[in-house]
Amino acid sequence: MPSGSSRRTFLTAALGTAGAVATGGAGFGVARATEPGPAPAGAVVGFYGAHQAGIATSAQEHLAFAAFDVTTGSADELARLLGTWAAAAAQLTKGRPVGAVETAPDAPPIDTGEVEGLGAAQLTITVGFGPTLFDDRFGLASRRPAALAEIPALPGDTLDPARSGGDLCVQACADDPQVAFHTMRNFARLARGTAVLRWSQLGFGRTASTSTAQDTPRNLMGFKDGTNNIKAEEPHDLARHVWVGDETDQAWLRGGSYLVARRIRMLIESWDTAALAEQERVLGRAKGTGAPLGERREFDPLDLTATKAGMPLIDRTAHIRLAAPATNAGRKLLRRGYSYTDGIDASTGLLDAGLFFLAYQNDPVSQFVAIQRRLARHDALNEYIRHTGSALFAVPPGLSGPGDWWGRDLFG
Amino acid sequence: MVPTLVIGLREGLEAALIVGIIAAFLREQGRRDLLRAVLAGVGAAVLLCLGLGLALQAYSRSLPQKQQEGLETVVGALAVVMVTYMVIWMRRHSRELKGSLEGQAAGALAAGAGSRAGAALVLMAFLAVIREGFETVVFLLAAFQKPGSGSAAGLGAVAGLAVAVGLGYGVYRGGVRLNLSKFFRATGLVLVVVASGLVVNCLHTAHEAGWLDAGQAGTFDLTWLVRPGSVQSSLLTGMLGLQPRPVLVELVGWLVYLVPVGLFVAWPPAARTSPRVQLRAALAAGVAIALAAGLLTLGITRRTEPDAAAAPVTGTTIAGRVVTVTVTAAHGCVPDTTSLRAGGVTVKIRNVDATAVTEVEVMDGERILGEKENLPPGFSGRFAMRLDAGTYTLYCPGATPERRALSVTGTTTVVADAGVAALLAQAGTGYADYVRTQTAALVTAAERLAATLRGTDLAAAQRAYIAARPYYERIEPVAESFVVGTDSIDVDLDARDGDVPPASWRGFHRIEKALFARQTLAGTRAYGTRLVADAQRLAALTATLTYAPTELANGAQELLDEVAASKITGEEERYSRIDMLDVADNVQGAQQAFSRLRPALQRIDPALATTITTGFDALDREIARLRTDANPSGYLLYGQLDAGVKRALAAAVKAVQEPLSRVASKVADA
Repeated sequence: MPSGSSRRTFLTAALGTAGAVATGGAGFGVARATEPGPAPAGAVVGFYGAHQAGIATSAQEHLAFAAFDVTTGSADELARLLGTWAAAAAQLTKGRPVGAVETAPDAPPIDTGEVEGLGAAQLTITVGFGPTLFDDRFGLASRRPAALAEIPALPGDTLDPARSGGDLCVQACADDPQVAFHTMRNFARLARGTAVLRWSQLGFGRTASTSTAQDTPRNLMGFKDGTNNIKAEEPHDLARHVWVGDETDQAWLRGGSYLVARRIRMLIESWDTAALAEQERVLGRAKGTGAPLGERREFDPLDLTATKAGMPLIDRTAHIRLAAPATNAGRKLLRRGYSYTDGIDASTGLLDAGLFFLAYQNDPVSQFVAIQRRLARHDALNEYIRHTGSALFAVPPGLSGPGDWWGRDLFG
Repeated sequence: MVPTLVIGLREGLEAALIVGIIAAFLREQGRRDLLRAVLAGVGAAVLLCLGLGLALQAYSRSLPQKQQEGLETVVGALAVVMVTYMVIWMRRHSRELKGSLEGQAAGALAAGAGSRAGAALVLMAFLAVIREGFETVVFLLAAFQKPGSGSAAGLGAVAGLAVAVGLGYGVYRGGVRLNLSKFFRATGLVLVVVASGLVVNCLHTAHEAGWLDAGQAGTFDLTWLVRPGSVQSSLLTGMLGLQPRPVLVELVGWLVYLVPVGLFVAWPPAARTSPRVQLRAALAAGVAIALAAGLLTLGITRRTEPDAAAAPVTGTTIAGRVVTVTVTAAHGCVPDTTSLRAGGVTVKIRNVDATAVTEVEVMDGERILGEKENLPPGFSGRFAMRLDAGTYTLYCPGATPERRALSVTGTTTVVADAGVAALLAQAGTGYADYVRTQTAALVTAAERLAATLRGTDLAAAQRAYIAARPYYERIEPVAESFVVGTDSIDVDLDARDGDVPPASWRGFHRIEKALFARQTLAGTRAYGTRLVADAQRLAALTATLTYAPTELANGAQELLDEVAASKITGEEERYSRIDMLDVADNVQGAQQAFSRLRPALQRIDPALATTITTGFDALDREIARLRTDANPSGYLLYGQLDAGVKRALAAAVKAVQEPLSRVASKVADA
């Protein structure tokens, strides 16, 4: 295969004497890009803390999400990978490259280099452990939290196994898509020989606001969704619904959370032919203002009892009604989803686009699973969406500082 | 030479005496018929022992440096135990030896007549030689591993054995009468001294194997008295087993062994008190020395601690062979000492909180001598290498500061390293041989293919095509390197449809398209002839080629790139679909290139060498799953692969590619 294989030059020069030319004189480590100095300007989100960043952090604009399967059978190698990831994350979230800046002429650069000069762009890196990590491979079976069980099959699921599950997950969120992708790419590289990518998902626009300072964005259906999300400014809600507390059966998870990831494809061509009234009936909100039907402003309280001409203003099967905490025994989720598109469905020519739904909670059984089971049965929205991927991860607490790493309590 | 001579003489004599006595006894009993059988048993035992020695030696050579040191430690310790036991046993039983042996022989002969009695005696002689021979082998092996040994040591052993056999023959003829008690006491003393040297050697190799880090502080320096490399120095180390600059644990070990055991053996028979008293006296001496040594350790440790913390002072600081490196974000790489003693040096590393640092190296100029990777904050690691006197750099990429000087003083007390440079030179030569065999086979296979293209048997031509491909795929990067102007031999041999204008398209794939897509031999004859000519051109171009280590590393890498880029995607063998055969041969070629670098890499970065070897093993297992006898190529056709298989194969390739990409820089300036 001759074409374009000049990336590396094997036998660069003429016969016989080629040897020394490739390396001779260049020496080791002469090509130094920059001294490690202060981080480049750009917004930095602190990496260390009691909880992992990237959960209650104001939702950034872009997402790169990756699920990994661990291929090594060695707990020590797995621990070293998590330690290496932690070191890399500390660097990247400060806007610095992975590892040393050193570039030796005979070795590939340590960092892949595409974010040089882009800054940190609010990058957060959040790591989680899937249920399969706690099988018999690494001696972790007794450390699996009871709530970290595979999400049961739910009505209407059309899940693709190749887009579901995983031993490990990495959620990289940033205001620059290249910065987010760079994390996924370099983490996969650092994992070579230890873990392989199982599936990945890019998200190009946030669909949730996790801070009162942020506007509620619109999803690909053109609606404001998640108006009543849990916000970073509500510590009481976070403690009650998101952070794992003393009630857990596994002390290592205290201060952590559970992450549910669902790839929800929207049948947007069908949606686009639905009349405005139908769209608003299905969601239960006005498309323009985002206000609940019958109200005037987005943040007006939801009145599920209001009627007009004997009929409920908000349809019995409207998404907003079935998802509301009031109809779910007060249960809430911290949603952090992103819009996605993966081109077109080759067999139909239809756009493969939708919502990559990410939700944090401290009890997936009573929160996501219970809410979704109800939605899956009755939600009018089901006509326009398909759940095509699903995964659950236990997200350990934040790292205390350099030298700490994800799961240190598990392997230590 | 002297130690091995004593070993050969002494151990050989024990066996020779037993055999001699048995032989003399048989002669007296008029059973000369059995003599030949006894000698055959002796011969078999000698051969077995020789085989064992060679096997142990070969096994030791095949091991990585660290494990080699470990094995040497075990063999050395075994030798010390054996010689001690033997010296003490002989001391007690030398007088009764002859009588008891003859009694046993008579008993054996009396027990059964004819062949069974013969067998018993043969077995006795065989076992005697095996037992002594095994001791000799272990003992000699340990002695050979000591510094400064070589042909002189071998000569000594042979001379000793020859004298022993001569004496044994003398006993047999009845012309030699030995005062066995005196003989064993005198040689026993020499052996105790030799064994105490082995103790020192054991402690040294145990340190290099990473088993022993305590007591590596320096003690005294006799280099003013005995210049390294001089005759006195050889005498000191060879005869007394002591180094001119022993580290503490070596000195203590030497004394603790030599004094009590020496006293026990040297005790004159006239002054012999009860064995119990002797044993007590020897034990008391041992305890006293151990106590004194302990106190000495404390004193020395106290004295050197402030030195180690202070700025590097060479000359006055007593150097050890372990350096502990602490890596922090604030201070970079901080060694606890910058002054080391020549020999096997261990670097222990702990990364506290430096997130930009994941590896530590020791460099001589720009050449990496040893290193440890995968050291993120919160993790520790260690590596060892041999250092001669000189100045080295402790290099921690990403730390601030990144480089610190290490100074090494003294002389290396170990046999000179075979040398990474020599190993790398061998790598290039070995690979050149490999390329030549492959190109020669390619020419032959191309000729066969061309012959079938001139015939009428399509199936035979298809088989000939499949048979020729491997030789090219294994060395493809070499062919790719020949680009002269617009002429590329890789294009001539291996261009695919569309890579070049149709008018100039020739080579393997042009033939492949005719044979497999159009299913015809028509019009292929000329391409067969060209293929042979091009293959011959490649063979001629590579005939005198030499290869630098970086070229081997990059070549192996490029072969794996081939697999990842065009084979797993099925873009190479579009008509025959034998891409998986190409995969197997690309990987084989990559393994060939890497295996030649491995001995050197084993010295430079054993962990990386192991990672890559393990990765290749896993890749081999993936490829083995693709095998099938159902297809002429021996592998599944591309269309028969499901996505999961391709994905697993790609992951296995990447798991080798990533660590392999780090090899070139390590062998570059070595």
